[in-house]
Amino acid sequence: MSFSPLIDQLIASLRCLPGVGARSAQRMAFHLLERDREGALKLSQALAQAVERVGHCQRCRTLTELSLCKLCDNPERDASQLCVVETPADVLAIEQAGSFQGRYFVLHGHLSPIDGLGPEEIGLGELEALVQEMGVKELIVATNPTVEGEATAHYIAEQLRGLDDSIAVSRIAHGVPLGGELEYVDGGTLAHAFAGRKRL
Amino acid sequence: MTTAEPRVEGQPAYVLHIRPYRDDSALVDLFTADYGRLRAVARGVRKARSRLRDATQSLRALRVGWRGRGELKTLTAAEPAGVDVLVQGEALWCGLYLNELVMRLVPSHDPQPRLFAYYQLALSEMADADTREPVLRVFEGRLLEELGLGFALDRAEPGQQAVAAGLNYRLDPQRGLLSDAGGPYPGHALLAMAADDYSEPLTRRCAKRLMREALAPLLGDRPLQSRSLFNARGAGQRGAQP
Ligand SMILES: [Zn+2]
Repeated sequence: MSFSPLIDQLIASLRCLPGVGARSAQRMAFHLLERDREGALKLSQALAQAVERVGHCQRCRTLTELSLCKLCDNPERDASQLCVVETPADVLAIEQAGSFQGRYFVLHGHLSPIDGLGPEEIGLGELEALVQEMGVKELIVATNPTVEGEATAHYIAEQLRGLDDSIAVSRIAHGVPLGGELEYVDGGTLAHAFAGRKRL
Repeated sequence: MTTAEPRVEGQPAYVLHIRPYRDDSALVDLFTADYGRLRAVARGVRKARSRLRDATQSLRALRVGWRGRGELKTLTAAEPAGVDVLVQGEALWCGLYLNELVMRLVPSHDPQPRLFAYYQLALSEMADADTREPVLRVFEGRLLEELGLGFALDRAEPGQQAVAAGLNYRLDPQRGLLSDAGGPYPGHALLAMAADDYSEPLTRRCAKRLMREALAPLLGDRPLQSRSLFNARGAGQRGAQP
């Protein structure tokens, strides 16, 4: 059903959001126009400003409108530990867990030859330069436990091994979730949990 | 009147590539035993408790099911197919290389049962660092053969004469090996390759160059990306790179 050009355009635009289909886009559009024009205006300004000004942190490449993000600019953070993640959302997840005090580097993806993503495309040259500049002692690779994530982790480990043998490169452990029952864990996860087993 | 949608069940397969699709689904490229390479949508696979969860991991032997008449199938099942090797470290790069080769060169919806068996064999022998490079070379040779582009390693033009250990050869894209005193491939290395004997470093170097040259026309001006993985500084000494 078609309303008017501007309303149709709004509905169509809202559908670019994840999880928003035709029906919910319609509901959102009418909610904003009928009940919350002030909220709608704020939303449109916030969107315009964010899209215009948010870029990548010069050091860790996470999303920020500052030249250095808050984490990189915080002198309390331990510069000797650097954690490599695939996405800015991963930074957030680790920060919310609250146990890591070091700094981050965001790849914005993983090695994926079929998609044309090689070492250059995911910023591994910049990572190498950053490791040297910051005097990193431990590099923690927290890419996803997929084949591509593992291949990326292995690449980073080999890259740094040739650069400076005194840098410890570690991989976050993955396996059986806390509170989970073995019976319900999938085979791949169990295989990794066994491969990464620890001596008691 | 419509007939029931065709269904396939319990088909041995490997995931070659996964691309996120819509909110919580994915497009999965599969290499299957009896149906060749095909693409299926795995609905809801990115939800935490999806039944299709196993379809998110490449390089693992699966049994899958799908339905659908068109090009794009709908994945209905994916489960591990019994005992499997966990591919780790540099073997992962080799696995990604195999996947890129199959994605780029094997046409879709074209059954390749023999090549599937070679793929399976190659993965199962990937764990051992010493056999990794020969395994890649043998797979490349079988791939060319199955695509109808193979050439004999023990016969050469002119006249399809037996390759002689003491002579040199070059590759002609149309005619196969050609006797040529200035050619880059020594006969004894070609004969070792023909016998699947890659124990000599010279044979391995020669095989790498020959396979690269033979694959190049098929790849056109887009080189294989996965080759760049083997340029990591610490890697390379072991020489497994394609
Ligand atoms: Zn930063």
